[in-house]
Amino acid sequence: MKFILNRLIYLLFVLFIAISGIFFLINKMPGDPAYGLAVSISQQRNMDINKALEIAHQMMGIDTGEPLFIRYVKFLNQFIRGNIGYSTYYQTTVNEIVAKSLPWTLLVVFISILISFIIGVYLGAFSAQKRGRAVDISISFVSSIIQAIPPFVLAVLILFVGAIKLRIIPLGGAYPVDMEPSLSMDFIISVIKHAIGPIVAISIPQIAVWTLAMRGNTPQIMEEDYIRFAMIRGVKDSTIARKYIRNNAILPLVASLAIAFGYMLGGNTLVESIFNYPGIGFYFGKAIALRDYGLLTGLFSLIVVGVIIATFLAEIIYSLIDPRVKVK
Amino acid sequence: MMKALLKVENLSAHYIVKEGTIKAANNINLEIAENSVTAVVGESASGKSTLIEAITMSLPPNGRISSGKVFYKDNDILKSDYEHLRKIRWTEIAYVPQAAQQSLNPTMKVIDHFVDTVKSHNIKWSNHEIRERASELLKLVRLEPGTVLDSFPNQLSGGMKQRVLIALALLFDPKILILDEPTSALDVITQAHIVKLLKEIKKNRDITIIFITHDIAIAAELADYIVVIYGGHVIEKADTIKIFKEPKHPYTKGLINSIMSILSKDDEPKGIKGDPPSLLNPPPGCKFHPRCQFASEICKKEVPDLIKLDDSSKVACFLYKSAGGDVDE
Amino acid sequence: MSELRINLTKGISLFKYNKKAFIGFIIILFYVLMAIFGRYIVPLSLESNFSERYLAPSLKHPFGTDYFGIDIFAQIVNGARTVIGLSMTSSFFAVLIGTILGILRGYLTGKIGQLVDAIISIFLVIPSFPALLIMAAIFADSNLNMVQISLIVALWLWAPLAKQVSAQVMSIKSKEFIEASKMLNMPLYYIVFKDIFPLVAPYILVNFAMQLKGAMEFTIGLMFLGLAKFDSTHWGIMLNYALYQAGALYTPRAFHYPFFIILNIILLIYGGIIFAQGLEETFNPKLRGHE
Repeated sequence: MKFILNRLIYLLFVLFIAISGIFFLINKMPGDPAYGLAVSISQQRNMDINKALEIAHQMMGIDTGEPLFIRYVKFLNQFIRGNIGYSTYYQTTVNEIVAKSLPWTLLVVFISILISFIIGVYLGAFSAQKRGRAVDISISFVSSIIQAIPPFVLAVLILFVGAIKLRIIPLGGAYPVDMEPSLSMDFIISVIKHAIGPIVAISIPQIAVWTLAMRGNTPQIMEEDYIRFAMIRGVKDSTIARKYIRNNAILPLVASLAIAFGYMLGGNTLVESIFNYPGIGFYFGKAIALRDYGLLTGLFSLIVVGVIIATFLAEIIYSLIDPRVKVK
Repeated sequence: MMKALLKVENLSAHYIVKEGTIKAANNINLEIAENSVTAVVGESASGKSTLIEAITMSLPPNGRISSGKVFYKDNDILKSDYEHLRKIRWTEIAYVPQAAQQSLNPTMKVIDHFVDTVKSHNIKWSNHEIRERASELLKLVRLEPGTVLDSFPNQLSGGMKQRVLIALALLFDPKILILDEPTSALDVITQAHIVKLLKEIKKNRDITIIFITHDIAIAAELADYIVVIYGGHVIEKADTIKIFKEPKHPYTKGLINSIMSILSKDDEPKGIKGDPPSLLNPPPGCKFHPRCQFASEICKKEVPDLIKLDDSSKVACFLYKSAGGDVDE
Repeated sequence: MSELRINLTKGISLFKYNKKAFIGFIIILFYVLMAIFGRYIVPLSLESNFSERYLAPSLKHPFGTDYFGIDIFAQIVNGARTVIGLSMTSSFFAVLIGTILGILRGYLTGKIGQLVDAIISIFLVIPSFPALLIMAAIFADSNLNMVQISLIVALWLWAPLAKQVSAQVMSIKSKEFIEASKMLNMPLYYIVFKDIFPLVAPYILVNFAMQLKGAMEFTIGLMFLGLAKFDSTHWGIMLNYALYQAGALYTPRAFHYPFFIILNIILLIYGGIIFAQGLEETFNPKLRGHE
């Protein structure tokens, strides 16, 4: 219990440092963070840039007369209340953007992780069983090649093949613009169709990762006494492979699973951007391209929070699996 | 003598390691009578476990059987294919290896170990029947089935795990139960429990027990026959009473004297001087000769055969003459 | 005492027959040579020649031509310089930071040790690619040079290495010969450089190779997003042009344009991966034992 509490306090501290880091990084930058918004206002309303800057500052809640430190305290205060910022480009709160984009990211990440973990664990266990044979060598070879493909390159290839050559997946969006979100079958099918591209692009490299991880920690398990004792008991090979080897080899991966989930919240920026899939990563990419620092700070903080929750879960899972960790 | 249930002929096994070949079992001849209890006694690294592993064909990957035959009910087990071997394992011959602490799968409840074993042998018991049978066996080994069956291995103590393994071994009422160091790594009280348990099993069941131990006191308490192993060779085999009253081989004498002197506490302990032989570079001739006070020239050159003496005990030592031509190879 | 020192020399000889390390090394060497000498052998002419737009691969243009009719092969060869340069410097900086902080964390105790530990942990937890994108966005308009870009990339690569090195240092610092040096009152730099450094050197080498994958992915990603202004023949920028500027994805006969860029990116990263795998198998006897 003390261990868990310690880790929790520690991770909250990391969160605090990360958020503060990004705040100062952005606000210490030469130039005004509200400048981008001001330009768009002045263009829209045909207004003098200085006046537009004033409005922009008001909209973003920035008082330029205030010292940086006061702004920092205000920012933290808002953050703790759950108000993670204001997007200058979309002219709405980051919370609102998160509310409409997070479900899509969660959908894609959740399905991708599930698929890739199951396939990866199977392939890895299979490969380890056939260690040294042609199947195993080809699985390892293909996995290494896949790892050499940067995710965004893979995304481009899938978009090219799926959307342009074969025309089986749409070019962007989470569902057709002319469709009203509902629980109808049509809508669900079209949501799945739109998600397939990102899911495949995320899953393929993940499958390779899990396959190699599973293959890597299986030999160690095979030397355990309980494997030998099962053989001595005359337990069938197929049962040993499944219940004795695979189930034990999966254990250390379960903790990594939580961490992978956390990192994927933010790690999909390029994939979601390439597929124009309106998740967190897509808006993060937009925020970068448009230098929308409010949105950037908010989304980055959200991603860090996600990673921290995932890390925390992973540590708890790990300490449950391996009692030795608690001692440390 | 009763009919031999298990007969080992000229069995040799070795391990291949980086430094060379470890000859851990050399030309072993043994007969195990039905419904007897045999203790295999020897120092650590004398080849006791190798002998058992060779008999049950469960040597580690770097172990090889170089020659010999193992007859179980007149069939050579070493010649049987893997599937046949898998089927007689546990139904006929149950072998509980050392390292009881890690022998249960940490991701499975105790009951599932019973279930897997039953299902693997294509025995048509329902889950309920398996549970009944497992409970009965756990009660026999003085464990509370209600809690233990649904526990994971890490929730059990070392002694409990060892007892679970024994219960598991009795699942199909095997003809032969082989135990490797069933009492090592346990505290004294738990050791006493296990010994008592094995005694009960011996008394109440038609079962042949072979167990390995380095603790000659436990051997004395449980066994009908004692087989002494030294440097990968069987050097003496006799029934327990005889071997304690009148040990033949100089090594056995030393072994028994050393515990007798501890028990009686009269004069200074008569332990055996010197170190056990390396199985990697064993001495020529009788493996015991460097430590033997009776060693003569022949002991340094030739390996003595295991011969049968007048009192029907067997010994491999040049100090003894065979009882009228009945030489075991 | 110098088990690992022996391992190092053994590793170099094993290198001869560890196929993975060897093939990986050859691939990397090939691109390094391309980066150094390529532009003298295959001169690049950036003059547009619209009559030769999107020519398919031929003897004259091994990888075909692009939207402007410029030879793609020549661009790839010339771009190797910045691709290799950026990823090598990024890896180098990452390894440098990681090693220094790792050794400090492993060796120092007390408040400073804890501080270093906290820094490492924070960088471990913060998701590196988004953080890198933010930094790149902030500096995007300030025309960074190669060293500056490499430093920004390295900042988000070093932490895992530092953690490994510190664990390694902690396990060896209790060994007798270091105790002996301490008792002889040897200065800190002597202990670090003469006693500790040689023992962690193999890990550093393996990690340098491992960082290459991350460094290449990160730098190419940055260029691809147009977040760093750089030589137009950098493969990431080429890919950006190919996909977005020239719209090659939507032009069936231009398929070879992105294809050859992607092929080279993958081959180079693959070289880095198997080089690292091979080195690890060589230096980590436990892994090798399973083969």
